[in-house]
Amino acid sequence: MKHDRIIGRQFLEGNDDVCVYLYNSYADQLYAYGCGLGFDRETLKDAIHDVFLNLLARRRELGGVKNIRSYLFRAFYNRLIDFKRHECDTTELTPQLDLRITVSFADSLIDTEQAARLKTMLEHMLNELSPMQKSAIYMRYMYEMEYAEIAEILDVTPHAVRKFVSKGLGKLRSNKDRLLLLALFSALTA
Amino acid sequence: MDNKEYKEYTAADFLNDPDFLLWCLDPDKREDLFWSEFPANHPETFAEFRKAIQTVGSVRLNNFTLEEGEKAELYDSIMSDYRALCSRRRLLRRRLFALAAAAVVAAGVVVPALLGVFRPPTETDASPARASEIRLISGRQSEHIASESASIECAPSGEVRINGRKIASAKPARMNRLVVPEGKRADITLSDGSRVWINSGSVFTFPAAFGEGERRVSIEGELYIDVTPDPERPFIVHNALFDTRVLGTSFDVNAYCDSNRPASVVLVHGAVEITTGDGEQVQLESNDMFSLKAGNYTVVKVDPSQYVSWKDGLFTFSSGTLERVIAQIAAYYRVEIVCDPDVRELCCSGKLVLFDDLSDTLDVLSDILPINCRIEQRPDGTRAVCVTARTN
Repeated sequence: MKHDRIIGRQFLEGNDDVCVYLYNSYADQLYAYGCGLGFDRETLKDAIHDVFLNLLARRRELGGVKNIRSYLFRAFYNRLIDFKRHECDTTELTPQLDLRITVSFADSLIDTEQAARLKTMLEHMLNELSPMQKSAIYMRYMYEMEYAEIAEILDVTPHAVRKFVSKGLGKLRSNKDRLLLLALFSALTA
Repeated sequence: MDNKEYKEYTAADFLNDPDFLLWCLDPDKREDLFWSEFPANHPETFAEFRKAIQTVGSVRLNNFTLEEGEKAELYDSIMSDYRALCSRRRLLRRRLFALAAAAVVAAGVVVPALLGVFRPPTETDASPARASEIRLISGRQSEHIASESASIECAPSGEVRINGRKIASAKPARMNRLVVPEGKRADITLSDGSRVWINSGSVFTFPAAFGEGERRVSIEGELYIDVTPDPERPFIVHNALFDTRVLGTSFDVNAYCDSNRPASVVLVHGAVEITTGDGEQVQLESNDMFSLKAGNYTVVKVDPSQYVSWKDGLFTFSSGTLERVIAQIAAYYRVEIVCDPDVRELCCSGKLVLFDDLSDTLDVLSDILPINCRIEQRPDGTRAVCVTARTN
């Protein structure tokens, strides 16, 4: 984390060479986030391209930015909104993008039947949360972002993020009995 | 929670238990007590319990990534668009000043208004000359080295010398970055005595002094390293695509971040273990070359001297064509070289010294072979070389 902050500062001070480090660290994270928001590969590549180009070009104006990652995520999200707006051609003020959570397993040694059941259960649990709750939990779990970072990306206060996370998890707990049924159900139909 | 028959639980049962899952994902104070004491209270199910935890631990949400080749290509397009943008800006600024000067001559009152409209940038650009110098970056400090090559030594204490001159000691654990632009070279002795040669167009990241655990460095570009053996502290060379782990040996890592060149490791002697981004592990023996392109790798036997001679400022060829030699020179000096068709197939064998000055290298080449090499200055400031047959 501290390493990222040092690189971020050097980048903002005009060092082009560290851009590749920022890119290598964050391009995949942005891509994954964009996939969850429901965009296709080419659109996401365009958005990543535009966001990094803009970052490079407008570096000097970003002296106040404390966290490059959250800035990138926010810019990325905004760019995707722009694309959506053009695509949909609606009069809607701001299209809301819902994050879809897809579960996978890093450990390939896991029993496939078990993995499938767990995947169904977790996806159900998580996708039932509100978009904000889902995004907050996703960023906290996958990227270990601080509340302040998530707040900047979702454009809310850190306090609100804390509430999203706790309310989201609370909802999961209160749906526990339903989950038990779901687990039994998936076990039966597997 | 207390009503369940945990004694009979298998890993699968844990994973079907929402109480367990929720504890894994977000430990609540009340539950935490129950589950953390679980292994002690139910030792017979400990193995299954641990297996279940491992499974949940490997859960990934939206684990989508770009393919390495795609990712690198995208980066290239970002950087080339950025450079194009910079030249457009420079052009605009030049025009602005020309315009402003004309305005001053013509009618002094007009000037302020013009400047207001175009809003010239207030910052001063790093001049291109400075950007093409070797530089050692440590925290906020940046040392520029004007010469064509740099020799850096790191003492175990963290003291750093560049070409014999001591620079302000960086904190030993801090990561330093050595930027070696095109046409430049550097060699560096690390705090444990390991020697590293950095090829042109590379960025090498290293700590001023290694600590107790792993010795870790990063490269984007190419390096050749002679690692000081130390069984207590494995040495790891990290790059964007894979990690190369050794105990003490000599090898070359080639990992420029562009999709044209496959990344590779050439092992001169000893043994290394490479771990790719996907977690695959490959062991190499002497004279092995590991080559990674678009996610697939091969391991072949090679003559290492051909791949590592650059560190001594040489290219070694055995029955290569002039075309191939030219390609290597073009890549090393980052110039465009145009070669007449009738000389392309000339046979070359031996060692070619890479002088700091491109024209010296070309002079030697023209002495050995019946060719003429002419360097021209292009209007955009870059250089190009024309190779033709010698007629006299």
